[in-house]
Amino acid sequence: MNIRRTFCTVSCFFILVTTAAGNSPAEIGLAFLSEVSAEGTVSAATGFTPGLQASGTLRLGGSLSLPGGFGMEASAGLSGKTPSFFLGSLVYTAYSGLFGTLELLWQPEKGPWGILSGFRGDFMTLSLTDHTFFFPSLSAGVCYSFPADEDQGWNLRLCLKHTQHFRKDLAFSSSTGIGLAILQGGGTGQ
Amino acid sequence: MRPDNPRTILLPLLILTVLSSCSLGPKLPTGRAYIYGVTDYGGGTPNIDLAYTDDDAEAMAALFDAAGYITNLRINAGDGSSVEPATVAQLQADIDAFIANAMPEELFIFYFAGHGVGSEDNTGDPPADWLILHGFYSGAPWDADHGALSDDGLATMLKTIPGSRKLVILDSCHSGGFIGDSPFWDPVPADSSDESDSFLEIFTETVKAYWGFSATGAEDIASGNAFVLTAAGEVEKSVETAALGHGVFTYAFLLAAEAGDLNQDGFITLKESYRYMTDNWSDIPKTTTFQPHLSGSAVDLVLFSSQ
Repeated sequence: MNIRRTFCTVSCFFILVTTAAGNSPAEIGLAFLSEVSAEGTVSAATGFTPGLQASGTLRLGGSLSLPGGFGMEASAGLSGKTPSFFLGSLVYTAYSGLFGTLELLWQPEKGPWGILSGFRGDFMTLSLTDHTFFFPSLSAGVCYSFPADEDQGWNLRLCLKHTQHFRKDLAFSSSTGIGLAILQGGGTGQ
Repeated sequence: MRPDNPRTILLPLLILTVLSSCSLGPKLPTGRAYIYGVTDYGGGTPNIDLAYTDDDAEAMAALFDAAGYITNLRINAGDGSSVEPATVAQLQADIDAFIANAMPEELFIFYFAGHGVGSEDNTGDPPADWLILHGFYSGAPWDADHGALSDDGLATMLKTIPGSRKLVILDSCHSGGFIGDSPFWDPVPADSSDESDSFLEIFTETVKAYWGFSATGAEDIASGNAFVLTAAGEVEKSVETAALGHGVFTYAFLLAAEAGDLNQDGFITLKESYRYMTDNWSDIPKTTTFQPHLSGSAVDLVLFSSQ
């Protein structure tokens, strides 16, 4: 897969959607987002058995609700991944670090269900050796937002997300996880 | 009571079968170690013989032999005790033999203790980092026929071995120059006495390492070709001392193979060995500022049992 072409395509989609939404005369709101999530990652280095690693993430950011049920979210957070298991004499090394995301959420009819897609960039440090490395990712998922409590001004959102990592040191790497987010403020996309 | 659907029995059985077929913890690999140490460089002028590299090789051979690896010792000790010549031609023969005889999943290990020459100190064309094996003499051409093995030359030899289970351990000056291109950024500079970079510099270098890396155009022993553990940075010296009777790096590696089980799981991995050496440097005589380097990789190899 050509990484540059894929990113260019997704970027154009983002620009198109946000431009279209921005031209609508509806209200725009902003919410504060915080999320915890757990993921399982399957990675395969060339010439080695694939490995399974678990990870946890914590991220904070903002959610900008746009007309048409769209929401644009940007966040930054911390992520840590365990060593792999079940691989005999081979171990996929644990790592941890920072990541940033830019995501687009669409909730048809402003209902509870939504679909989400976005970019992610990870800046990580390998345990034991302290080598640092960067890799971009693309993610997609489905979300369910619990009805907002308008008096309290917050709501909860559960997302099941799949992320494809573009690692140059691995032949394959992808994650699937579930995240629980709290959105506070007026821009929850509802 | 019989279940209505046979799948209610088959599914748990299938899960049990899959789980029982998995290895539920680390295990030692099978592998072949080719241990090279060059002490005697032929007594030319100037005399470039070393004192303890044969002892380094013998100790490393004993270590890998005791750990269950098929071990092949190649030393030129200068005292008539040579087992097989530690020459470039012998290394090529060993690689050919490994390719012909090794089972799938076997680990190839090449260890070298001897002289290393940096690219700024030689007249090679183009300049390269070199391992100096037996057969080299002062004034000899810089090529494999005369005992000088370049970083790209070793990388090319390693590429002929199928798979990625290859480990190169180098106790020689300038050995960090053998670590090739990778999408990882090494926080230890080529000269470890240099000041540390700021977070922004590290981030920038890391992103550049990702976008600038191309596996097809990689130089030296690239990420994905082999794991490389070295005694020194690309512009640093590696030393041996009479007090230790060994090269300092090899002495530290021997200690790590005994005490490097950092997570107490009963096994010592390559990265645990590296970490043990860097964290316990104060326990090892400091004769200079150099410190080990390890090539970047998402994967780690179990090497020894700590029990």
